[in-house]
Amino acid sequence: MGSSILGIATGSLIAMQRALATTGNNIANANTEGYTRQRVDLTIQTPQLTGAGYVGTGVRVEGVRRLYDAFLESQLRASIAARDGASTYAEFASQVDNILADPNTGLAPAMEQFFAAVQQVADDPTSMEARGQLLSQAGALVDRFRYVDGRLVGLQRDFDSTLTEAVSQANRLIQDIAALNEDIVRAYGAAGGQPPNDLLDKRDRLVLELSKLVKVTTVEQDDHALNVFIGKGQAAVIGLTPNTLEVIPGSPDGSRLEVGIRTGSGAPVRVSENLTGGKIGGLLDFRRQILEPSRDRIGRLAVVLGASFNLQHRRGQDLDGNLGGDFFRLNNPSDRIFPDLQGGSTATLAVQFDPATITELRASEYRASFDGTQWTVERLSDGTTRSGTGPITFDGMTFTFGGAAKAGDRFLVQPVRYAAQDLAVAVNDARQVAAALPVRLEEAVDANGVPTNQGTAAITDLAVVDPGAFSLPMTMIYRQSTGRFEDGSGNPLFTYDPATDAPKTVTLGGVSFTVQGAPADGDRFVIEANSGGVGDNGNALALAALQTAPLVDGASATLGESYGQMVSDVGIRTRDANMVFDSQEALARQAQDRHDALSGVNLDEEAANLMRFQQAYQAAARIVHVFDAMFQSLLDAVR
Amino acid sequence: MRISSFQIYRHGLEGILDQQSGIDRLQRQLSSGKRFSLPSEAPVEASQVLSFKERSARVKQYQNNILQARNRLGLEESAVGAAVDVVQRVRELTVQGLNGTNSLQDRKAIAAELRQRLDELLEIANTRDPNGEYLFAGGRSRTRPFVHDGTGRFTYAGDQGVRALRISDTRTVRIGHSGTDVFLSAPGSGKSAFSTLYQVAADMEAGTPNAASLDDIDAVLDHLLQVQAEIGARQQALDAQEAINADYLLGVETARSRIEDTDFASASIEYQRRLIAIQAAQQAFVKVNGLSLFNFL
Repeated sequence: MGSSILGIATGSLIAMQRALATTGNNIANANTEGYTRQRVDLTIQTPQLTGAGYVGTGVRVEGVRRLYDAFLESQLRASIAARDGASTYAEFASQVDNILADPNTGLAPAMEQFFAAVQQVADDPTSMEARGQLLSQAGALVDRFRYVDGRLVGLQRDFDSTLTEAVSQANRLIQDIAALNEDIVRAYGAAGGQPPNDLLDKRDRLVLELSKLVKVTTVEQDDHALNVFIGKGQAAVIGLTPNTLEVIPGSPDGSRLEVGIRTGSGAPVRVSENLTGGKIGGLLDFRRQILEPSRDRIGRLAVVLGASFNLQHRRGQDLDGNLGGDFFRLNNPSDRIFPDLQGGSTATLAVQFDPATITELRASEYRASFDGTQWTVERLSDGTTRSGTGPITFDGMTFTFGGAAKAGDRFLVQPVRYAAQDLAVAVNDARQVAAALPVRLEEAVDANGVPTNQGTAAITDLAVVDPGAFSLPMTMIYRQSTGRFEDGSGNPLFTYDPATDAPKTVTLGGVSFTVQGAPADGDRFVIEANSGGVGDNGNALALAALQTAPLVDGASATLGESYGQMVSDVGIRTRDANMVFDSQEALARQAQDRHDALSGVNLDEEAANLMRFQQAYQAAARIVHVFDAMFQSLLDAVR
Repeated sequence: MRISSFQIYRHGLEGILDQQSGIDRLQRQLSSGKRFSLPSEAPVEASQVLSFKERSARVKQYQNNILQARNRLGLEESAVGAAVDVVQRVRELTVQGLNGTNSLQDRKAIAAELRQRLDELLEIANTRDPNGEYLFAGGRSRTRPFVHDGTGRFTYAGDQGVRALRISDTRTVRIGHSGTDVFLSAPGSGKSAFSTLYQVAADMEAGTPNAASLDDIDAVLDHLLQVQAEIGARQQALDAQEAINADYLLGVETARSRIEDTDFASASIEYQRRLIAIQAAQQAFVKVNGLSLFNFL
């Protein structure tokens, strides 16, 4: 009888002490990051069966547990992973945006100044000053291409080191989580099933840190070890065994860093495509969506500008009467070929730019693969392919295969990735700027130079199509009887009926021109070499017109428009990433609030608990006193 | 919903920090006059501004081309005007010389002046611009176009080319005429201006001026006047395009300013508003964080 009352009192004192200790622990850790508030679970002692029925035997502490909800925790992790992924993406994307859109150091002002210099040469073709200025602006343009690409390369190096650091950080966390798993399983065992709260808190904190780096999902095993999966379900920790996360060189382009997972002592397997969310996911998305495409697009711009300018420059004539040569020197796309061949294969690949179809050039990598009978070239940006057995012409390039190929042979080609770096000016003498047309049109004149044509016909818009097809001088005499123009020997050249054909555009002997008006019978026109024609600016005008010609993307955009589209695309992605960040930040705050609502310490609440448990302790102490008084009474009764 | 103590603190702090970053952004806008200092702050607007600047630069180059074209046409206009004066004087002299009251001596004197006028016309035809290019040599602008061998043989060493300049995305304007066009072509007579003047001078020297040569002179004169008219038309085209370009530049500049420049009125108002908000947030933070049950235990 007596012992049970004392037992109840002491049991209560002990229980209240534990409760007060737990409350004190909560108060002390109110500002500890990752601390989950703890609560003492009080439960009744087993009641005693007496003749009067079941009598309660007091209170005992069943355990101390965390106020924790795995679902809230996983929501918090998910929104933090999304938020940090967006913030990393936005941070790096902003840097690219700042490089490209800078109104002073971007490519746009350099291209404007270059074409303004071309116009100056058109305005004054014999001026050595204007020509020299053009060469100087061309040099500045090339420098600017290199500068912009160089800054992207610098960003690439930042990316590489940031990725390496993040992966090594994530790997450390994975190893630590696995070690904690072991500790926790042992702690559960040693405590007979009681949760090791501080170890559990510590493990949750590590998983949250990992969420900042990559998206994490977890599954708790029956033995309380936590299985951790990253990204799209890649196993990082299974039970007590961690895998190793590390940075590996890509294949076949070894300079491209990838993330790999090594299980046990085997070779690492590339998992970059499966890693989403967090800093690592944000970095990888950034590289795939912005960094590499931007380098490719700038390179493509350099090649299209250079090749188109060269094509037109070769149609002109310089101050010394020579046909123009290449104005720019372009990169060699064959320099960036990565073979991935089957054993014993001797396959080779050479890639050249095709100036005639250069407007088809895309900003993409390409993969050529052999299936046993033919080669297929795939444009990696959207998967379009073209197949053939001989040389394949695709997207403004010619792919020439050689050697003996085996099925499964592959080549990776990056034709434009380094084009901006390698662009150079090929002309160093201002006299070699081909501003004039190499041909001119003369109407027939007599011995005194007086024009003799009687009709009203005029031939205008003389342009060069193919200098290799010239056959000069080209005499064109109109014969009314046959309604056509003939050469000096009576051979027909082209028909012309003033009533129905005017104006008529004709391409003949490598030149094109427009005929209009009504020629009289015997009227004669000659297209001859433009010797001494240094004041002619025909080719300079044509070169200047390249600024507003649709040269890029299958003849749909001008150089400026293509650059503007690139800036705009990066800008939109940056803005979207910022918007995603803002909304994910709000979601993360909400998830944090919901999490803290359950697991956070409220000091006022703990203060109230202190009062509560203190009163209960005082009351239990009173019971002891009462019991003592009862016992004294009993003793007094039997003295 | 239950709130933890840390949450109370964090919410209050986040409010203050958010207001601070907003105030910082507004301060930068007000002091720099630009809505954004880095393109990444307003990426879509930044790319629009870039496109405006590109168009604006190109049209400014066209205005520059127009200036150069106007200079060239002005030179040509003076030269052709001088040529017209010469030919008109020749006509006067010819009419005077045709008069029967002239003696042979008189006619020889007139012939001498006629020969001087011919030389003058030759000089005009060989005019050079300040850079040293011959105005009337076509594309062969560094070669002296007109040569007289002294015996009535005139050779033209230029060609029939004409230079054009671009004054808009869609228009070019020719800034000259070839020597053939101005001085060798005289529809109606089939003779060049020089041959006609030489012939008149030779006939006058011999004392047998030909009344029919007046027709030839008129043909030359008419053609020169027509060239003048063409020059005038081109100059008008330049003026018209210059005005169009100027309007376009103004429009682009206005659009750019609307996007890029700070709207000071609304920025100042928002700045004031945020100052009040941050003060309120700070005071609320202090108040709320001072409340605790432990103050009463």
